[in-house]
Amino acid sequence: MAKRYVDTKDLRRIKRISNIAYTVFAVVGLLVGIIITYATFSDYNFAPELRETREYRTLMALIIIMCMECVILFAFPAKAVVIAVLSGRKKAYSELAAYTSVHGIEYYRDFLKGISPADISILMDLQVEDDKDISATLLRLYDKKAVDFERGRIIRSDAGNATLTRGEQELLDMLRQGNGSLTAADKAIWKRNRIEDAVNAGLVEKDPKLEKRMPGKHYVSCCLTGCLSGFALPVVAGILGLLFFRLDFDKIKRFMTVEWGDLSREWYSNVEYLPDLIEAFQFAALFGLALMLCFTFPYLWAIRNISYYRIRMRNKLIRTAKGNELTEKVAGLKRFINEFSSLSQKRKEEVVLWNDFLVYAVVLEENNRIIRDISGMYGKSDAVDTVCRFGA
Amino acid sequence: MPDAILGMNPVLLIVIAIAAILVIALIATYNSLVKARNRVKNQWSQIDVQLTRRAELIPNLIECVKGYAAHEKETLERVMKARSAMMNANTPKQAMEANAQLTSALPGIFALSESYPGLKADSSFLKLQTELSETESKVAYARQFYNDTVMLYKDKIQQFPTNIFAALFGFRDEGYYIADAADRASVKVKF
Repeated sequence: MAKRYVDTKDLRRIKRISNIAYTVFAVVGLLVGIIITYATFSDYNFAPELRETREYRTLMALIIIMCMECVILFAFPAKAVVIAVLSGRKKAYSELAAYTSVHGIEYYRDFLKGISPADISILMDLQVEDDKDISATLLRLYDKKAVDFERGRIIRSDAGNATLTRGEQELLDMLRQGNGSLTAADKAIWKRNRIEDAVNAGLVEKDPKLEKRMPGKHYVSCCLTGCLSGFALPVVAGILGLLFFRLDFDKIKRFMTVEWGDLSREWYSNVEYLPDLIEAFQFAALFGLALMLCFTFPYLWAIRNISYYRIRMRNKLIRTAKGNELTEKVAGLKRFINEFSSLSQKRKEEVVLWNDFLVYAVVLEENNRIIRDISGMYGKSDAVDTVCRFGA
Repeated sequence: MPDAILGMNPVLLIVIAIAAILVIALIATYNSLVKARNRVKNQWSQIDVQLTRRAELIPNLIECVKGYAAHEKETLERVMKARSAMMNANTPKQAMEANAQLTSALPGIFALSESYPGLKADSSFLKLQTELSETESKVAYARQFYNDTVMLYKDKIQQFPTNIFAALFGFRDEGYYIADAADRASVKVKF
């Protein structure tokens, strides 16, 4: 029973942003490190005959260490806040996409009978999205011949006699009332009703832990805990350090008193001093980093939690056992569509060939083209045209 | 070891770094090709599963029909022949051909139910007919997915620069599963 995640768009996006942020910080930090190192050692004579000496290698090691530490320490506060925010968001999105694999399904290759596109969407990331899910439902209605797409308009079709689900019927009614277009209020009502349907079907339920929380209370508690521990942690760490460890500040003092100009100009005379200096440099940098973390960690923890709750308090759903079992199939189906097909390239007309598989591709975020096409249709409010076309 | 690295010529270090990046790219390309080829094989095995299931339903269907129309020997033999060809198929191509034969032979059996009211009302026959029809539809979807995986694989082995590695490591082209005449005929629309 392993914990797995549906590869949702939100989760992918947050991972991508994190990777970009980490890379940018690392590259900028490295550039700053190179500039500092160059400024410090620009007077140093890199004579070729000296390259085989131990001192040269020691100096190279010092340069590399300086660069590496610049990568870590550069813009640390800004970097830490960004990482905390991203980490909180990632935790929230991961939680929304997490399920427990009971049957070990890697790929699911069949239709999910008796489940609407909105149910699939809810199982995937515990939320209903406007355009994606409405487009998928309309595509299914098109497949059932209940609607038709003509010259950029959605028109009612009576060709099909398939039974419609509650969500499909509701969407058709809304389109009829809106003369072929949907308002933001319509979408909100439709979304709320689909979540209610999923709750009634026993697929999802409200998380009792999140439900108990007072709105806004969690932000205050995060801030207070973060601020208090922000003061308390360094004090406790200092007391423990004084009581149980003999703190050796000699090396840091030596590092702080080094005159960098002398080092670069007269390094020949300080050669014996260099290995110690490297050790002192590392020690000072680590000490500085530890101290910074000690002070900033609680605040970062508070920022991370606020970032997490901002998402989770808007969406307090969790999967039931039945929902979890179905989510495993949904995740397997998404993997199958992603890896074994080019459904991302298909057009809405090809639903006659692919049937529900194309609907699944839309609802599982594997085909954005169809979402753009269909959402453009019900978004239009050319009343004169649609009054005639969207017949009751 | 660190001493040896720090004492190296910087140009040599850059050359080593570029070579390492190239090796990593080569490994990644090779692995992606293997993955694409395995997906084609895997999707073919899905078709094979459905074809086997289809073939396994045939003897029951024959037994059922024999009870009502034992003298329709020619129709029954044609189906059994196609079935045994499918069971003995060793390559995807042979399986495709045998499946085409079976697809064209089966309507003959289902047509018999029109002449034999007893057969038409037989619950086992109706159940088998539904199951065969469902399996056929599953074969059709599996074939669509198979063709998509083949297309993705073909894209990989024909595009530059992966085509160089594909030729180098012997990644061969795979054929599409083309719809047979009987399948094509079945999509005709009557007005």
